[in-house]
Amino acid sequence: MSTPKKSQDAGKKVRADSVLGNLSEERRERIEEWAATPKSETCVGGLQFALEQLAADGIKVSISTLSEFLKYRRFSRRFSFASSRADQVAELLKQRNPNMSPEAVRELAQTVFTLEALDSGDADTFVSLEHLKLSQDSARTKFSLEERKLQLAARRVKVMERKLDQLKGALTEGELSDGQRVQRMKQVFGL
Amino acid sequence: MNAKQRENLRLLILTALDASKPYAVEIPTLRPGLPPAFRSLTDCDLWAEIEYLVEKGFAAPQGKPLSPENSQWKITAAGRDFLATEGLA
Repeated sequence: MSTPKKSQDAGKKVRADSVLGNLSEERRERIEEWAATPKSETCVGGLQFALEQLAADGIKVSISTLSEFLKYRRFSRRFSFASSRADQVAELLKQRNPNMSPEAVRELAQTVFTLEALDSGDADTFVSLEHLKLSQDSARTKFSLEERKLQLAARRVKVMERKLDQLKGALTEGELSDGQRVQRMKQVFGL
Repeated sequence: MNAKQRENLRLLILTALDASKPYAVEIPTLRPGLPPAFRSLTDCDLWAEIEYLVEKGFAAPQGKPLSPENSQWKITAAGRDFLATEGLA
């Protein structure tokens, strides 16, 4: 693990390279929103859009810094969510069961936290699997499209070969005049 | 896993412990949300990294001491301070 490299001020030893980490929670959330903006005709979307918005605010960071920042945010959000759900359950338990011991409430809340953290993880896995399935479908569609293109090309080659055979016959018929040969060639090619 | 990836993993675990306050984190809850680069890690690999954080004083074991399979961990004050210096708190 790296140790703090440089302090921005004496009392708060925050790494100088942690520009995004030093922003307020509100601004960090805003960055996540920018990064989640979909690409459109008027907006580049994603990380690039977030970088542009940050630059407009006078904050210059690399795309890898931004990507790392978002990785930590997304990972920890699952746990924050699970924690707040467990808090809600603990509160509800205390209200509805005033006789329940604080220890029992704590234990149940801990169980809820663990289940929630596992659940949201499953949701992440589900989303990843869905993305994988979509890309597999897309690859399959591309493959069948390419296969159809090849079949079409093969049929075209066969037609051309047949026409060439007919043309060969027309050109080798000795008794035809030049005008008749041209006429036959036009017939072969449907002109 | 190279040194940089190992550092990333330790920071990810620490951010998870921090976000989970006041609850304790178990290894199975860590695994699903990990970035793809770390998905193939075993429980033992994760355990070893958490133990490193414990040795550093950044995490503390919770739960029943005689049931190691139920191990849970919480972040310590030192761990939170460290995350703050990294701009991740």
